[in-house]
Amino acid sequence: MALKIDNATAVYAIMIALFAAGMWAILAYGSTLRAQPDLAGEWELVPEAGSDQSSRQAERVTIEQSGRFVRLQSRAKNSSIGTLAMKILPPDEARPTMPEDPVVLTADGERKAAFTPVEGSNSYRVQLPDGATYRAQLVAPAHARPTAAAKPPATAPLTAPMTPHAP
Amino acid sequence: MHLSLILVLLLQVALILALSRVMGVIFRYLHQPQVMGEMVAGIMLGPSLLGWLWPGAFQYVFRPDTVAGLGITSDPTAYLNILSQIGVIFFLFLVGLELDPTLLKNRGHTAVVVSHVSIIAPFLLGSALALYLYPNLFNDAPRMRFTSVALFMGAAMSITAFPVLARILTERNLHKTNVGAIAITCAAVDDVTAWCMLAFVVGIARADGVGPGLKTAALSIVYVSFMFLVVRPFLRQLERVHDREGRLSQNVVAIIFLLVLVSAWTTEAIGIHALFGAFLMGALMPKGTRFVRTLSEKLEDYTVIFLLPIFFAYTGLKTQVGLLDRGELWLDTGLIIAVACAGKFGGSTLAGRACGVSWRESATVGILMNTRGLMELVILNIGLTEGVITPAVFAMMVIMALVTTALTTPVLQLIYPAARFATDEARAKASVARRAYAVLVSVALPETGATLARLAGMLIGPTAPAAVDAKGKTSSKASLEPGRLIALHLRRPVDHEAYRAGLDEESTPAVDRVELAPLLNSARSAGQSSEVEALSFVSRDVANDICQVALAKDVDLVLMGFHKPVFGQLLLGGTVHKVLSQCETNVAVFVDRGFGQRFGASSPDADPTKPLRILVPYLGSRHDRLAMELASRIGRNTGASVTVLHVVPTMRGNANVRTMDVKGAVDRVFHDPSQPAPVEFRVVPDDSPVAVVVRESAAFDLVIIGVAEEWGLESHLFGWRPERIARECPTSLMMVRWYANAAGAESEAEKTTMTSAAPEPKAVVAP
Repeated sequence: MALKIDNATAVYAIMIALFAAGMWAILAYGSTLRAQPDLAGEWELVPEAGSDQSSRQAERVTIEQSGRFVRLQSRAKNSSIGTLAMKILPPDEARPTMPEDPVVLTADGERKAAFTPVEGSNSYRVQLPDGATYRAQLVAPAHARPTAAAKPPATAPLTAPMTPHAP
Repeated sequence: MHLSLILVLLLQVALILALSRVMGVIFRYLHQPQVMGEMVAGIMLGPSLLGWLWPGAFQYVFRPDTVAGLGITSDPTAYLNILSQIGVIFFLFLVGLELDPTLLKNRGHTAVVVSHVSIIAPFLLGSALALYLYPNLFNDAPRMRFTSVALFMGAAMSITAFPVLARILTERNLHKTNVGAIAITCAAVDDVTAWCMLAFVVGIARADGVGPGLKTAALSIVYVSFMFLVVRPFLRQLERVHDREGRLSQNVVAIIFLLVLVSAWTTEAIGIHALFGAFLMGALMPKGTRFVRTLSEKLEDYTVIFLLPIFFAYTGLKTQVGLLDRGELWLDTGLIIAVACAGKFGGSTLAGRACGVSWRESATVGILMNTRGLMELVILNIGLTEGVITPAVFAMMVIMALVTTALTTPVLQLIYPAARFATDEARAKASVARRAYAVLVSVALPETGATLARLAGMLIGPTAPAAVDAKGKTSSKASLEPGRLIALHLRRPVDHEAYRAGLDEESTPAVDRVELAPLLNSARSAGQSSEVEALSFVSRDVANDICQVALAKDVDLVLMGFHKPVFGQLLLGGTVHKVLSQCETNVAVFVDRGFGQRFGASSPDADPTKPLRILVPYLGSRHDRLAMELASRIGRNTGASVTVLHVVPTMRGNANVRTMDVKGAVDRVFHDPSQPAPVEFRVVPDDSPVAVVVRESAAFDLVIIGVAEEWGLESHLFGWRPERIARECPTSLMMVRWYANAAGAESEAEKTTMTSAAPEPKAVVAP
């Protein structure tokens, strides 16, 4: 028995089919995309021991992040750095166990900070242009983090100075 | 200075309320929806403006370092957040309350197609845009998975601000047009769909895997079923209680508020956001009843005036336009705006065109659907709070919401100038009855309507003047055509229409409006043969709308009453001034000083049978000539006696020549065989024409005077010369202004009647 479909029904059927196909294509392709590493939240920065920064204190920095664009705000100094662009460095083949890709933050092409993940912990080594290095840990993430299964807990509190990260 | 929490909160709320009202008024003046002003006020109070221009003040009000008594939170704006959330919950309940399912029923094929396309197209484009934005502007956070982001962007692009759209339609009187019907249907469909989609998106974002997702879906089905099967019948019972008691008791209100809160709590607990529960609760309330209207009025002022501005301000506090400090971010913002417009405006326009609607009307529907307003802000706040979008994307989308909402009115004016369409339509209809004398009576206050109707009836008369065909012969058929009386009442928009459709009020036919009742009753009781048409609508610019209606209805005269202005002493100021300056037809402004009492049944001075005595001061301007023509009309129609008063300077050599000219003009106007009463032409030598008119007018019932320079009236239109005649004349006064291309000016019919044989007016030179 032949199925009779009027024009309106056909238009709707085509419209819904196009919508469904379009959404499927978008979601399928989108699932292959990767957003920027999430650094947003409040960080505790502790100067690394052994470096020439004995006068520096541990401080808290808030990172406000929208994808590639990052703003740093220091609580102690009550100061804010304008928007920085985040750039993911190529994976370090020498250290395949690194939990995250290293990233650098730049402004007008000038490197302002480099975040290098520390193996075996969820902390980062932060290097500033003046050569100062910090051990940084995200103490209050802006977005809820996956449970412990996905990321290992911090191996040690950051309140004490740490040994320099081996390059 | 240490501030206690309550001081901080009171300061914040007071500042928010004050600025939002001020900005609302300013934006209304700019012909933008009031809500636009309130949204902008919120942004102004945030870091984007106040925090940028005056960081000290911003810090003091919204980020005080030391607040005594902070309890559950150390953030002093957290309490604003709580207030704003409560406000939005009740606002969504109101939106649901206003949703009329009958809008969705029995609509034509066009409305159905356009409404579906207006959701699908922006949803698809918004999701596609996420492909570009996701790698750049989103973080690799659990709730920012691509699926959540794409669905959220689609939902955010699909939203239409139903309340703002309804408000624009009402104000422009488009709601009774085909375009308005399509737009309102689409907005209602979009509203329902958008909140359902949002519930779905939030469910997806919150779910940690398939198991919790299925659980949320199952609980949602149970909840919706419960609401339809149990709560809805219960609400009908409450309505019966209300009807029985004849009032909305506080207990019933408390029960409804409780149900709103429980419904919101349930949906939040299920995982599909509290706002959906509030919206559904409102949507399930019985519709179109006094019960709902009373409830809505009780809730509305507090929600709309007090709580919503707090929501806008809290949104403004979270909006950091300063984050967009790079060119590429502004390019992304432009792209978001372009995609939003392409999806909503483009999709709706193309769908309308595909259904056979004209390009212009399709584009009108499209631009109306592109209005996002505060609904967009609600959905964006949810996105930011849920962690689905980043602060920069939030700022970009807020800008998009502001731009698309602000664009609506000017673009609508550009592509669908209602007045022009109305004019074309009305001209086509009026072409047959062109020769019938038409008077537009603008009624502001009900009590003035009857007198104005009586005066208009005198001008129109029992029959229209004889029309003359192309060969110069009088058409007997046309001469029997009744004149036209158009009664117009324009209402200023009331506050609640800022957020509500206000369509229930609009359903009252113009003829049933209380403001027009005295006028219409007067017209009926006088047995006026003229065709009476009643018009009533909301107007933001009363003067402009009077002029537009006059143009559209092709009237010969606009007759309006004078009311003492609230501010200032000028009689010809305000709306009257604008109409006199702008109207493209003849205008008469009537100042009643006892004229109405002649016809009032309860008045001891009432004597409608006594012939009217009319004084026409004449110096020779075209306005004066119009005054004579109108006096001649009244004389012909009522038997009134007319005296033309010509004041000449005492020591002027050519006074006699000028007097002869004036007499000639009077002869031309009053040479009408149907003029039942004699016309008296008086010449008074005096150096102060104004003083003469004021003195002489005491012996007359009505003075009709042109707004001429010599009378100190015309100049007032452009300056500040005192309107002495208007103020000091003891008699009722009709001030008339002639317009060069007025509908009835210099009509052939008039010329014919002017030049036909009739007894000459007798000239009297006063001592």
